[in-house]
Amino acid sequence: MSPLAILHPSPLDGPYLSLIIFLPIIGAFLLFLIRSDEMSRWLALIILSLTFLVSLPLYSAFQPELPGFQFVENHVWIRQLGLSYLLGVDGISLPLVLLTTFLGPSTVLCSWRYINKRVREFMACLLLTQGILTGVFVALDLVLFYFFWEAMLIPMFLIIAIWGGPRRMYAAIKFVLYTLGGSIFLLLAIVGLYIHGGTFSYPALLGLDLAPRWEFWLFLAFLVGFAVKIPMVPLHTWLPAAHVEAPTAGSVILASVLLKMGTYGLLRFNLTLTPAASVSLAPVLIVLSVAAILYGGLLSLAQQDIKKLIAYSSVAHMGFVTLGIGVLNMQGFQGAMLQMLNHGLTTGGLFLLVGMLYERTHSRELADNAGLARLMPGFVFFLGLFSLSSLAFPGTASFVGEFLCLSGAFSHSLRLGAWVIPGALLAAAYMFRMFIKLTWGRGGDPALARDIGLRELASLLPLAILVIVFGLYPAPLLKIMNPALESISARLHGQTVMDLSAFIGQALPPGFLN
Amino acid sequence: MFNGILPEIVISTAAIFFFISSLLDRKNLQRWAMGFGGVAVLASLIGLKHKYIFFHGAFTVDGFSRFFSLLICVAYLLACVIGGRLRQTDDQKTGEFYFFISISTLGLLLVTGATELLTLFIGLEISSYPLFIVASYRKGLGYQFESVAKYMIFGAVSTAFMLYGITYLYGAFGSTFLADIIPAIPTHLHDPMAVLGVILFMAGLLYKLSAFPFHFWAPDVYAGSAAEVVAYIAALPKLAAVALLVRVVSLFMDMEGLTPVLTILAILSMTMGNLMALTQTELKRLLAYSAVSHAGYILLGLLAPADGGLTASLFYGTVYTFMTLAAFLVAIQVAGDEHDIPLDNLAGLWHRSPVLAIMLVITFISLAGLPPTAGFTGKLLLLTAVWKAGYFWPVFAAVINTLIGMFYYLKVIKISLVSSTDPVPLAPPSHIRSLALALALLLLFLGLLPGGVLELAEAAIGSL
Repeated sequence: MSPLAILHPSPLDGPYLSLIIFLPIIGAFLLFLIRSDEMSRWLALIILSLTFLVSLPLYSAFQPELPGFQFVENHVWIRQLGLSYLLGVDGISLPLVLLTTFLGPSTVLCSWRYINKRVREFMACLLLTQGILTGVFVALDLVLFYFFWEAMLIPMFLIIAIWGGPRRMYAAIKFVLYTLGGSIFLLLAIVGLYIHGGTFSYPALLGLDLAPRWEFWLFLAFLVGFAVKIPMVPLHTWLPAAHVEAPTAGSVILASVLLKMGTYGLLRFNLTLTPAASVSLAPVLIVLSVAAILYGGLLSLAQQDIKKLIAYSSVAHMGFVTLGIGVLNMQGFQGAMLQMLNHGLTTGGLFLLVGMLYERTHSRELADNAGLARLMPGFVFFLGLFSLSSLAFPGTASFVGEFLCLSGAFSHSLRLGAWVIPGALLAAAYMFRMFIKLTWGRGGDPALARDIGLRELASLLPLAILVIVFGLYPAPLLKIMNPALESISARLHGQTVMDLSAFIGQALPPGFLN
Repeated sequence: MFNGILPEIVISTAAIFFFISSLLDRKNLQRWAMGFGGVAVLASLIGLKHKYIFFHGAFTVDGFSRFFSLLICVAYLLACVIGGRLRQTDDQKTGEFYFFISISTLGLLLVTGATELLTLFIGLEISSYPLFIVASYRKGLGYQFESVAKYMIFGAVSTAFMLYGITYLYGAFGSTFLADIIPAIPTHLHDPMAVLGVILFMAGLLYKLSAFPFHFWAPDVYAGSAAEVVAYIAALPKLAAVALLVRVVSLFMDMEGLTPVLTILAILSMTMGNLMALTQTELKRLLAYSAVSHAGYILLGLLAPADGGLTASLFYGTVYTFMTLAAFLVAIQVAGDEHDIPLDNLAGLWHRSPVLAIMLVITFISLAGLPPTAGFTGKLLLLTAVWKAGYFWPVFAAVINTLIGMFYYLKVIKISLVSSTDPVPLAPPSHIRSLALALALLLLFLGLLPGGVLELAEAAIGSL
């Protein structure tokens, strides 16, 4: 049996993971009992802070050296389909769960004044996304995973479609249709696994011995589903639209947590359920990642809208994550995991800052927001910190992640490293371009540009602290994730590369390749 | 003995009552209809466990037929409640309206229990003729007569096919009793006459289910008739069609040539329905084409009788009935006096009536087949069953259709969420609001915890 398939019950009393999922979801329904806007803001803040506090013992009680999953809850759900309500965390999902709960209070704080119509409904949507996202990371039954994966669309659609910018409907519908276009393949892959394994339970499916032909197609189906979410070039075009139109909290959730669902899926399902296909098709992943890094970087360099700039930089950063996964070595995996977390903190922070700027000047154009250093020194401090982290400046969080991804790429092949290095330079170019344009120069209305207030500080400070702490001392994170990543690595070890032309040949009409 | 046909007795009483009321020109009949519906539901609950055989094996009361009569009675009750005061129907004809739909319901109840082909045919006809009449009960206008003509001609043609099929089956098997036919099936697996008989027989069912290629009546009848009438036409006959397909057609599925026909019909029905629905701007027409595509999904389940496909079809049919009733609940509320219900009538629904808007969103998410609603669970059951039986391409087609469907379901959701320029306040009565909430919760419940209903469905299939 694979070491990944071992399940450990919770060392803490009670269904801990369910609590973290359902506390915000129940909170969302509680909100409808409240009439006043102010009260619903406070209630949402309290519930999300409470959820974060409740999730902390997960970290302290987690034992990194144990193989498999911990805090497991297992109940029969729909007997007729062999579905179970199976939850558990390991070194891969735990940091992502904590990232989700950690960002919760910040998303409420940044919407405090930004959202002033249908406040109660907005807060309910925020709480719902929070609970559902946690569910995505801890579900170990594939259908349960899919349930959360798709259920997330509804509150996110509403957040963009109701509280978004002028072209919100277009962006929201594009977001839903793209994601759904990917996830129908995910559904096919899940049902396909069930047809072979007779179960939807992830640990049980690990023991499955699939025919190479099946592995090939399942890998591709999973890949399409996840690639839309990550998003990988060329399926990324929904992201800038959604980011630009979404309200600040929506952008933060999208960038910080939602995109990670895709890379999490790649690590969790593609690499372990279809290992032979992963080894064989990793070059596809690498090529697409390099494309994302370079193309995303170049697009980012050309943007005038700050939100769009950061959105395209996300495409490039997520390219580093998929690159780390694609090179299939330990440095790459570690780098990918760290980059996922750090991108969550850094880009989340940047979107918070853009939101604050927009609340003041009602413009996201670089040209309209010049000369901030003089007017808002506090704001510029945070902008500098998150920008530096975004371009992977040593001492900030992203440096460690990006460095590990790069060293993974170099140890994969020197040529690959040479391809990726310009991407790192591009990151410096577009981030410095944004930072310089916003900081120096003349312009800006002093009356509009108040410096950040206490509430805004409260939403930024935790992220800023973590950016520095993880930059200087990533060891605790690595300690948590290493055993899980090693067991993935071990599963891939010794897999033989498949003869791909055989499968492609079968799918195409005879003589097509000649 | 009478325990077994309690729901039939209640519905007949209702029919007689409404017939007399129509002569006396009584008003306020909706309460009575709801009352009869409620009693019928209770009666079908009482009879749930009984098993009786009537008319020398032509009509059987078993777990399967009781399951469907329970569903039909519930749907009858709901159709009476959401019909409200029948604003779109002719004021003079309230009594007749309830009389005819009660008779039609009686026919459907007969269909679910029929185990002889001619009884079954008669049951279907009893359920159809009253609907031809009520389809024309619309205030003013004149368009409805065109739709009735279409409804009737297509109905006549498809039942002619069906009758023709029954003669072939009689020719092949020498009997019209299922009890005699079933043991003889293995010897007729390659008998072209029997295969042709089944295919022709299916025509009548496809018509009821509004599946391709017998769906052409649906858009016109849905759009032309009063919304209250369409709510009934869209929901109840489908249940009987599912019951029949599961009871009769699944028996013949081993026959040579039948699976390809059914596969092609299912795929075409799903795809055609969805593609036609894409460009619709009228709510009832959109629902009609969506019904065509959902009929395709229901047909899929028959491909896998041994792998739980029948349970899946049954569950999906049940869920579909509730989704349809929920959609028409809103349609009736937003209907204006004009001929159509344009999608724009839904604009700003969120401001006009939040409860209806929430229910509409949940219903359409369920129609689109997204979690956490019943539509998804039903689809998952169908897909796993069909793939397990070895059919990949129908599954693939179904999944692609989910995506196509999303385009227009999302359009409806979008319109109901955006604010309208001049929101007309909508104040549905409190019992409609509570029903809307109950239907929304039901769709979520069937999506998240379908175990109980699935067990009932399995038991129903088991008693066949």
